[in-house]
Amino acid sequence: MKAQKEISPFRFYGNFFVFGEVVEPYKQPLKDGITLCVYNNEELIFSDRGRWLTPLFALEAFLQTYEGDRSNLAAHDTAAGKAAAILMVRLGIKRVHINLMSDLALTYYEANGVEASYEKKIEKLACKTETLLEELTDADEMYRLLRMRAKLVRGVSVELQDASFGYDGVLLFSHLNVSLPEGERLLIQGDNGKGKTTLLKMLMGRLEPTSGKILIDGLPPSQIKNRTIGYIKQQQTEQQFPVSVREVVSMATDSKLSKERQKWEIDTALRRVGIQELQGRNFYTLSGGERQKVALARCLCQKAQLLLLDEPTSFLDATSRQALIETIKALTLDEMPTIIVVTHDKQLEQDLGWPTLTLGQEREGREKVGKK
Amino acid sequence: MSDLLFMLSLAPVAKGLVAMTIAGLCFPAAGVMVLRLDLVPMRYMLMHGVILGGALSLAFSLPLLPVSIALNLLLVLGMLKLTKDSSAGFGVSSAAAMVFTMALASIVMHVFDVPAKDTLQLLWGSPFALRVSDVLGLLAIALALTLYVVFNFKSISAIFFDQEIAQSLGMRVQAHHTAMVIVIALVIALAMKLLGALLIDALLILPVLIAARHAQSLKQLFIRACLVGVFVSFFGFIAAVATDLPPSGTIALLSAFLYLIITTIVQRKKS
Repeated sequence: MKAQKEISPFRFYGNFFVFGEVVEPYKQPLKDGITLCVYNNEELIFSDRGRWLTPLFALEAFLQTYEGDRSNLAAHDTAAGKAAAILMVRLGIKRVHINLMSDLALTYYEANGVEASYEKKIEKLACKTETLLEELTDADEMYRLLRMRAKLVRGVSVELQDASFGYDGVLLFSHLNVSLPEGERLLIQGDNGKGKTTLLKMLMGRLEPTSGKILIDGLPPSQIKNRTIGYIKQQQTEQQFPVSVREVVSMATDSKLSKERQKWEIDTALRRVGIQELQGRNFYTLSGGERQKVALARCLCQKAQLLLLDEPTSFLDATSRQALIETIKALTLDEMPTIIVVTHDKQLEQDLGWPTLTLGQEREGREKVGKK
Repeated sequence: MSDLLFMLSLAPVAKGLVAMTIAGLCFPAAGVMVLRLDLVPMRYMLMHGVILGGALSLAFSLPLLPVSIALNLLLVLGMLKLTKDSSAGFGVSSAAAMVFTMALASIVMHVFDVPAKDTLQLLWGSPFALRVSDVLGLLAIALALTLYVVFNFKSISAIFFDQEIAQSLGMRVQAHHTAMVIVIALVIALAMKLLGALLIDALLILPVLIAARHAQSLKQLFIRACLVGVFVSFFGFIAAVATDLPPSGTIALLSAFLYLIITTIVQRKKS
């Protein structure tokens, strides 16, 4: 749909009244209850009537399949605080016209080279999101916060309530309290024998805590839905048995889906982690880093809501390790499953920058990780 | 050539050829399971089960095949229970069951005056002595095996890949494991009648080992193992008829020969 440039006879524009100005389509008034319009040059490509950040998340979904040019996107929104500014910058919008804009938003637009105009400017939007974002600067962290507030995460909550585990009179850990909201990430560190893998087995429902409770999505692990947990092991042992990469990934597809849909899911998962060219290869002939990528693709195909990674960087060379870290990071911004990584790799804490729980040094009381 | 065609037109030979072709085409799929689930000791135990079955059927004048099948099923279920209830693995349970079946077979032979030679004769198989009901039974089990693999391929591949991961994917690992063990028990009892206990490897194991040399995927492994199986059983049987040699030995020799050739080629390529 092509919008016409409009001659404004008398119009409040920014801080000025203008007369006889040629108004760009994206600056024209929003009509019929529409709250967001997005143009590619002069062509209207998207509009929405939703409130809060909903139209921008809808735009994000739309742009995932939009094949037109994205180099000159312009948007008109009814109101924009810092949250909207973050999303618009992330979506590649170059020019914006906002009816009601906050100072925080304007600063963010300007810092990111977005040409911004407004009809009214206020210091700050009266909104909790604006307050939460005020002090944050990391673009990815801010984006994650917005996704979590919008409940656009795949993850499930994980609760360890006073959980202890021991066997043969040896206590591995005691009174462990962890609360992970949906989509949060946690790194569990600790020396060998401190119960890292045991904790993963408890989360998978294969071991019961000696005392206390474990809840995943509010339920004990034995009662959660099948396919909730995606498990990535340290390193698959060497085998002479052939199993192709595609077969490994396809074993995680939902059998209830049609064959075409399953094929699409497999192809998408392979493409996401960049291993399409390996799909015909025998899994056991791959390098450690490639195998971990296959495992991640399997979990993507599974649409796992809780990812448990047991020593994912063990035996990986520096390049493979870096590639794996990048893939995991990307996952925390896209699907946002809840992710728990167990490792004795001290460097990983720095590389990922996630909240960390060190077994053997757990504090009494509640470890609340992340913000809800 | 006309002699060969004449021989093949005889009912016992024709039945044997049909049976061997069916077995060659389908039984390697069970061999894939035996190797992947590390059930090689169980295979030996099942052979001993057939010896006990033979002793019992000769002692009480019962039909051999149903007795062997029933006994092998009982042994497998007993082993599964033993493995589940104790920390002993399948290998240890197989060894225990093997000792038990041989001891019982020797006692049955002694008490009921069953000639050991007649019982051991069963180990050599008799594809020319098959009845139509045997061939139909074989067809039914081959069909069951094929359908099981085709319809459960995803679960089978996950279980073969990693049982913990299969479990996390919500697959019924224990149920599939039991089903596969039972299928293997049935296949081995039948293969015993066809080829004999000592030469089961020719149909179950060697085709899989040959196919595994070049296969890149599990699907390829199943298909190629079955193609190798049908090749060695069909041409091995024809060669046996043409040369008046025992089919079991000829088929096993062809399998072993093929395995040696493939292994040599692969090693030469590597070096």
